[in-house]
Amino acid sequence: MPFDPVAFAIPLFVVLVIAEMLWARRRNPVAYESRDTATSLAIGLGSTVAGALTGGVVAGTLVWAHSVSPISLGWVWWAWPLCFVLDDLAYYAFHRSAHRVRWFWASHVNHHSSQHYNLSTALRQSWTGFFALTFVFRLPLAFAGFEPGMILVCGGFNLIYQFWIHTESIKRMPRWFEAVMNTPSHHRVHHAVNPRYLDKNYAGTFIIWDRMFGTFVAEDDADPIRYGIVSQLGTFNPLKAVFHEWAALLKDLWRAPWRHKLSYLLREPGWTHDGSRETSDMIRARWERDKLDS
Amino acid sequence: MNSELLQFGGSLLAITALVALAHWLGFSRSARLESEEAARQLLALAPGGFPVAALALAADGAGAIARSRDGRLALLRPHGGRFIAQPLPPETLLEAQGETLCIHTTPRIALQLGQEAQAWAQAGAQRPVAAR
Repeated sequence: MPFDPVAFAIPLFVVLVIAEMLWARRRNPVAYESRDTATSLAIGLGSTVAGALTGGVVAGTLVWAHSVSPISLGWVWWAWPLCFVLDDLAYYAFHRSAHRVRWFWASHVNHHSSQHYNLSTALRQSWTGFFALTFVFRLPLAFAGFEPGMILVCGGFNLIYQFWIHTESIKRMPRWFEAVMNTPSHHRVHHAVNPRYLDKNYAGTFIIWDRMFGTFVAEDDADPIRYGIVSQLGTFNPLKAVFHEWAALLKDLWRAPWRHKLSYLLREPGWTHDGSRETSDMIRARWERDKLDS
Repeated sequence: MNSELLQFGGSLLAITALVALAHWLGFSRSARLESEEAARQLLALAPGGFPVAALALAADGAGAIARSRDGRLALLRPHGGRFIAQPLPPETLLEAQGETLCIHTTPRIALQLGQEAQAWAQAGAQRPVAAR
């Protein structure tokens, strides 16, 4: 396995979580909840186990994709920043799919399952990403000639970057930074269940992708953010947080008429063939109708 | 393998210490509703929406019950430091015990509603068939 920057960052994560807890005690006592934190950290630990078990296959797949590519960029210095930026674009594509395709959402939902938003929430990483084949979003980079080790290291630094933005302790960064980079403010929007914010701000490191592809929404201080998922879980059981959507998806697939089964896999979360539930677009439309009526 | 086990053990210890610290710092309190407006905002986010027609807040802020314009009932119950909006299915039994409204969900919820408890128990029993 190549150098894994995330493993080296873990002690820093611990220190920053402690610092944020001390801040929360004085400034925002509702930012943390001990059982919620336990769930987040347990899911985080489980995700490292899942990553250790499947990392070799992911690396092997990237090596294969690189070996069949007619291009090999090697380890030239300029490939690093280019790889990081393109990997972030690949992350945007993955993340958008993770919210708009139920198959990928089933794997990603546990990251959104907390009703709190703090640095421990960042560690609610997926256990089932490999099973959901989410690594395919990185394959184009290997086909384009980037070294597999470089792709994995850039992906690791991308993940580390995303840790610090899971906080309410920072209101806004300087204007130029908010314009280009993903920030706590932008990412709070992404974790919100307020209708105006649903399925927005998919960025990993650079917010420019959301601005380019029309999925950016700025945080509105007049609309306090509520975190979590549309149907809140109501449990601190990490296994339920990780697997509940897979179970629900299986149930829907079992019950659905044959001609609709594929739609349950590939359409957006909340879609049903009989309209009995709401997608995020339907929730937003209802909210906009209610605003006009009131 | 040994280094991976060591890393796992170390992470487990760190997690235990962080959760203990969170508890020690006072982050294990149950949520409290501060106002009817806060309750309405939370209910508005319930799946399918919940336009509130009537609302009663527990005296200690530990929850609320509400009726929608189309006669459905929903409960706001604490989940750690936050609240969950939970629609009450037609078969849910609502029972007034003095000034407390007992809602027989899982988990069972008791709301101190004062004199309103009786009226809400009756509202639960008299829900129109379509809404129940």
